[in-house]
Amino acid sequence: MSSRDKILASIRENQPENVPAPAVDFKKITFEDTINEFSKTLEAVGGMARIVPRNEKLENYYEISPDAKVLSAITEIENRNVEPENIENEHDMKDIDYACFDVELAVAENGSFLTHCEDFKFRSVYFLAQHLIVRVKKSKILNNMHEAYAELAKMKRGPLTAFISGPSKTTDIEQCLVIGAHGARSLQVLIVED
Amino acid sequence: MNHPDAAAKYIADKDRARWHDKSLWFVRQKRDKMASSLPEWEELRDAASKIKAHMISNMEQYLLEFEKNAQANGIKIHWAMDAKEHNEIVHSLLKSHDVKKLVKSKSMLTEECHLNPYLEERGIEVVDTDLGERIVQLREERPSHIVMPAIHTKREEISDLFHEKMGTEKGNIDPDYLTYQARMDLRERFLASDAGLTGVNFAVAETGSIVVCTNEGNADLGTSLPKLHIASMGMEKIIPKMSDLAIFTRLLARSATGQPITTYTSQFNGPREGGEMHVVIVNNGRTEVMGQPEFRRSLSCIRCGACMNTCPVYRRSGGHSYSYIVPGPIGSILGPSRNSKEHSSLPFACTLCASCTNVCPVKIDLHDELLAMRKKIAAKNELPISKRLAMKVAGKVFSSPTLYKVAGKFARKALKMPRFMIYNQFNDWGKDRDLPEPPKKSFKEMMQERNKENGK
Repeated sequence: MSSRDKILASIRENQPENVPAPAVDFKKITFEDTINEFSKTLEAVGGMARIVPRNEKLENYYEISPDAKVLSAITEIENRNVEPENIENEHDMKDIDYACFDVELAVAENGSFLTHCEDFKFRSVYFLAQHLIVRVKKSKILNNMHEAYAELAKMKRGPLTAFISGPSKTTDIEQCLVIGAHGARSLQVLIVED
Repeated sequence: MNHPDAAAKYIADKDRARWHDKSLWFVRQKRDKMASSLPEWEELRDAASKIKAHMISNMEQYLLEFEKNAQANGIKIHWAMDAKEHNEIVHSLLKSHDVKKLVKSKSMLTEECHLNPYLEERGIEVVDTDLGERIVQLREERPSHIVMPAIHTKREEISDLFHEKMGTEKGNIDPDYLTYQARMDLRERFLASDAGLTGVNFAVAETGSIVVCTNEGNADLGTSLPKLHIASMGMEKIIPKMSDLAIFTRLLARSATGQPITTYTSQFNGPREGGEMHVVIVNNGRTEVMGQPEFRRSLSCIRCGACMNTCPVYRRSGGHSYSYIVPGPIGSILGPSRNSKEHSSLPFACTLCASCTNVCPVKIDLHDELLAMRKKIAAKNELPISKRLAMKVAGKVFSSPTLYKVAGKFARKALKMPRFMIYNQFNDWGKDRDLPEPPKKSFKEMMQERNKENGK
């Protein structure tokens, strides 16, 4: 008997009688102004949100340090200076200072955005780049995770789907919050009109 | 070592015990702030608890659904009956891929299975990449908390450790500096690694995906650089639907650290291009727990650590006082339900205050289970001799009205004795606390007088 069969047999032997699944029909939190709530929450988790008015140039709303190596899937980011075709493997991403890309949606209650990690040929850049700049449409800022997963259910999903809330962080040294653990050390979210 | 003895060692350093208590209480307060900011908090807990109960009662069906869907996504599924088999499977995968260097993100299951020493003995370098886990790995200790593994260490100790192991500046205790140095050191190790191992926070039957939650991004790096991804999964991590993730991701970080969500909530749906992904589903005693109705709900645990942060005994005695790898209230059930003899003192490291039950995001009846575990241990005659004798005496006294009356009288007198006769090495109850002022009369005497006054 394989371990698989042994485990399944053991489950059958010990499994209690069916408990029905609950209906998740309670009222979930919503906000009068999701954009404001998202910005506030993002700041609380260490990120930065900027609202870009219609007809304004994107470049006035993000900051990229001079001499930085910038890989961007957003064509309006004119500082981009790394050609994706020149990258041969995941390891080459280690020198990228800024990675810029559009995201599917964002969530007001926790300041996160959703990405399929498929803007570039190699996914390590989402986690190796020193800084992230992402762009999201106003109408894609949702209230809560229930709405977010309902949207995600409709999307085609690749190997990795990630909700990212702020830059990477740790409190492992005496509960002191340090921004920049392994992943990005800063995050700017540009909120644009549809 | 039993809990009271290990705890005595820990609290001998009173300043440290006080500091530890405060640190954990701070986390508990952050959790409270987040929980109270959501009007539907209690409904979320209720739903989470019911989804888990539903899952436990249909585990076979959901594991098979997960297996089928994950395989369709290109994930290879393995089944391990126990820790030994889990370690063998992981090792054989690493060996067949000629892996010399493995990077790991946090997984309590691999701690439970003692995977690191097993692999190290076989010539594989294992690097724990969560900063807290890295600290305890370099200190050659086990984690003292499941979410904050190095919560027991002070920044001076970490500074000295990093100076010795990584050559950082001596005496520099700035957390930003120390974290940055660890980031640089670990980045090289990520880049040089041949395989990445992660735990599993949630496995979704409906989509055949696994979800891993971290704040540091280490699970994502460890699975994006090397080609081979192995995920170790306790079988109770299965949940039915992707929409259930909304409930659990809303509860997990709020309960654990007081964040609205973990920084990275990464759903792995399959291997990346040119890569391989394996999930090892582990039983290791879980079906036995499932078969015991009074402890079954402990399988709902999502490993947030909220029960530890609030526990008055954990906060004051530290995680290393617990003989099981998972400390605190939940560990005091999980440990003895595997091996009640080895961990017999743990259910007694508890005041039955029920604070753990009140904060648990999946509503595990922790204090009830702890009490049930005490009964089980007593029935198996695994209590230490001191407790056995005390229980025998108490049983005699409580079953005899005369003895009880005499004992009460004696106790009320005894507490009025001079201080040195009460507060000394023979009285554990008088250490660090004053005993209560004894009442003048017993409850029975008071009732009798009251009845007389009322003319009854």
